[in-house]
Amino acid sequence: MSAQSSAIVKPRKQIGFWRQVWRQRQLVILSLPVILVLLFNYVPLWGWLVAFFNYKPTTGFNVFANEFRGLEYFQALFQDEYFWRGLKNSLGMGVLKIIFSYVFSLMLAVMINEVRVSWFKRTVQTISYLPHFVSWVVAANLIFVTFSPDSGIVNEVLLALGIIDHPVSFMGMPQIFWLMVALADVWKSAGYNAIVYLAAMTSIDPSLYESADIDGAGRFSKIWNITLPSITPTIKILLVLSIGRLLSVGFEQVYLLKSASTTETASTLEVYIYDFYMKYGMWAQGSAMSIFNSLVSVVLIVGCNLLAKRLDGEGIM
Amino acid sequence: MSAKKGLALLIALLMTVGLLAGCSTGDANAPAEGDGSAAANGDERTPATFSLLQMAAATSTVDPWIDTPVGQYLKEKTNVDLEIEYLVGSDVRQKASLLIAAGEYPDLLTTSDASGDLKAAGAFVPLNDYIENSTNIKNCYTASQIKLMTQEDGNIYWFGNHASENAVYPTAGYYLNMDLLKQADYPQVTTFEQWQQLIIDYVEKNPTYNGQSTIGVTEPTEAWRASAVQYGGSRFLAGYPNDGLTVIDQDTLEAKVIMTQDFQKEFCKMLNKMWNLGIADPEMFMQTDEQLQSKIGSGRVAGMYDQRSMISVGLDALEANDPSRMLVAFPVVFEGVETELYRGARTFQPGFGIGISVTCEDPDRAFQFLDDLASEECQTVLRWGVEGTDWSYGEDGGLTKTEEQWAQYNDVYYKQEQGIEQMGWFYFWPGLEAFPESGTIASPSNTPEYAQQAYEDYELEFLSHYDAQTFCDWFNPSYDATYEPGYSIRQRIDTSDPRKIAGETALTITLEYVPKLAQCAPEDFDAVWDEFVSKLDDLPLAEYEELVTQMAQESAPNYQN
Repeated sequence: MSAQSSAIVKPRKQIGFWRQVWRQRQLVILSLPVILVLLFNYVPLWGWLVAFFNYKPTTGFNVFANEFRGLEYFQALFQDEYFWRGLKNSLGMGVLKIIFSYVFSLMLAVMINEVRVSWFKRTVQTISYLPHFVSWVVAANLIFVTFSPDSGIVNEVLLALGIIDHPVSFMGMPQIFWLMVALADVWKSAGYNAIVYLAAMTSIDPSLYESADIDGAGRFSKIWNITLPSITPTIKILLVLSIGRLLSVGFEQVYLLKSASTTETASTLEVYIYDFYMKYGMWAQGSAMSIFNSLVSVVLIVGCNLLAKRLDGEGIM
Repeated sequence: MSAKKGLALLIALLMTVGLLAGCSTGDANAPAEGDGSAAANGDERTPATFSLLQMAAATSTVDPWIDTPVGQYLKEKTNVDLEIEYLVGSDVRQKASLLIAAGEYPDLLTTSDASGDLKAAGAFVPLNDYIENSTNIKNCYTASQIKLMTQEDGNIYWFGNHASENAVYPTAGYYLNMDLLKQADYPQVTTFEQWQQLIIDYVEKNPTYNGQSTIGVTEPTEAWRASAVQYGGSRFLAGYPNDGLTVIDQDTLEAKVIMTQDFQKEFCKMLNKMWNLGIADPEMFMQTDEQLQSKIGSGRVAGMYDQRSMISVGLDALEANDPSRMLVAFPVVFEGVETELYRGARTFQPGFGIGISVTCEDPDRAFQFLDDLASEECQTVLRWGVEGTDWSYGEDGGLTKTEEQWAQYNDVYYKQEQGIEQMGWFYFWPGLEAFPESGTIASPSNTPEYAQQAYEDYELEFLSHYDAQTFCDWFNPSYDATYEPGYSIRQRIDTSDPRKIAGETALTITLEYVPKLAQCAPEDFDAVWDEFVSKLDDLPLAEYEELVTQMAQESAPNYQN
């Protein structure tokens, strides 16, 4: 930005450079986020180089001091059965999380929107978005205690009601781990996500509802024909954005909720990448996998946007 | 970052002040002339501050530990202030990876399981030259031990320690609840079958305790603590000592990876049996180490395998809450196994230790500190406590404690407050049994007096039923090591070595399959086992075995004292 300004300034010597900067101070401030994005989102891409070298951490930033290995690590990755399992788990959990989080936060937003008593509305909203501010470390412990087969409250209640004969180890069953993660995510983020929809709903023209009332539309008919269509653009934008993050399932959530017994369905790509870096010190392999992760995300975003365009003629990009 | 800079500035400032004052900072390389064993007085040393990473959880209740009386004494003696960082969680290698990625290390660090990672990353300053010029450290190691500490590139990066023997409690074993033993009329437990049957009978008769279900068997399964089920518990059953994830033949020194051995299969079968009987801990494969410790502390656990030092938090809580249900270890073996080697060798462990990092601003001063730390004076304080308060000189010139002082020494909380035997590595490094100069027994817990003081009344009462003096009586005694222990070998193999990666990957796969093996229906057990073994077959484990065999054989000449 500053280079640009100086280029403009040069021919007209009478206005000093700093003076020019001061005049355009709002623009300069506006450029800060761009610099931050470049600094924190693009400069680190330098690290991708690690994936093509037999990288040793002792060489620090000088990646080229290591032996060049080309695509060797990518090839090894695609032959690794644990990589494919990680991909399956990431995709499965990601899709399930998106579906659950959409359905539940949308439902919650619609229901809150329909409530007319303002104190009740506020209370529900506060209670439902509070879990968002609880750290996953704490949340994971709460979840483990709640679902514990060893006198956890859920098991106690189910036993007392006679629904099950012996305690079920909810968090220890690989078969339902994806579901548990999705549900935990709903509990933690549905209330918070609903805020965005609620905000979108407040901008709906009230006269639409009034004319619907005159036409004799019922509550559900109004939700279906006015509320939901009006917030469709918001839903679409959020969907495309969240599909871009499909493979980043939420590392800390999965890492904290997984245990020895759920390894099979809980080892997502991110957990695997983390193991590569942290457990085995295999930097190149870990980088190769995170590059793959990013590429898949880009493909998904572009694909989803195309799909959105195809469906109703307008995408977001 | 800024703390680092601040430290650098501080040190620079202190150096300048030192020079102006005419202190002997000029040639820090040569250790100050001392009177042999004792550390020189603190005021002869330049004041310094070092950061230290303990690859272990904090044990002292006083934070920072340096504020305890023992810590203060040490600070005064060495003129070094320590900024101690402890390991959070239990994953040592993860912590090491973070340090390596950042390229910034604490000035002093203990290596624990991460020796290989840190060595490969070039985290340490070579110590060879320092040792020759040291006052105390050179007395702590024999020539062959120095050779053992020397890595392939000819450098010494960390100081290993001598594993001393605990004469009061065995280091590992198959534990049973005292209440169980009482109800079974104090049997001598020797076989694995018998151990299992005792638990089954007990849980059947006592399904609940304090309103909660009795836990027949539980084991640690979190991160590296899972070693108990991955390989730790089974080797002893077959009569092998602790050699990491391998067993080493005591005659030929041939190493075999445990995970696929028949005795490991038997161990998993036990878990499967207990699981299907419904008396295994339902949370066993999803609990954190803290949860396990609190379960042990609650007195609900009837039996388990582990190393004592790993469950000491739980056992301390149990002793305080409910001593009648204390856990007692037995040297359980398979039918037909003649000797057990639970207590293992008294050995020198070169595979891990304490070193000075490459990012330490003043390695010379740091070494001087380590050298002071190894002095008899400092070691005495670390292990015995402060003179006068915790011990005094006896008539023969040796160290003695009064009855009250022994009672305090037996009180975990007192020791934590006072700072005695806290700081993991610190107090037991270099871990000599007796000080080279005076011959004083280094650790109070190894003195004959301690054996008489060590036990609480409930323990003595329990032992009387077995006609025994100590809880080690039914274990075979330790012996002199003839080769470098397998766990020490494993720790120092380079991380990037594909053979080491094979071993570690095998552990990851094992941790996934042990829960499956334990939780499957008994009739499916063999099929799951075969699937597990076929997964491990894809890894170059035979090469890992060869490497360990070779390293063990190479170390053997240095263990012939």
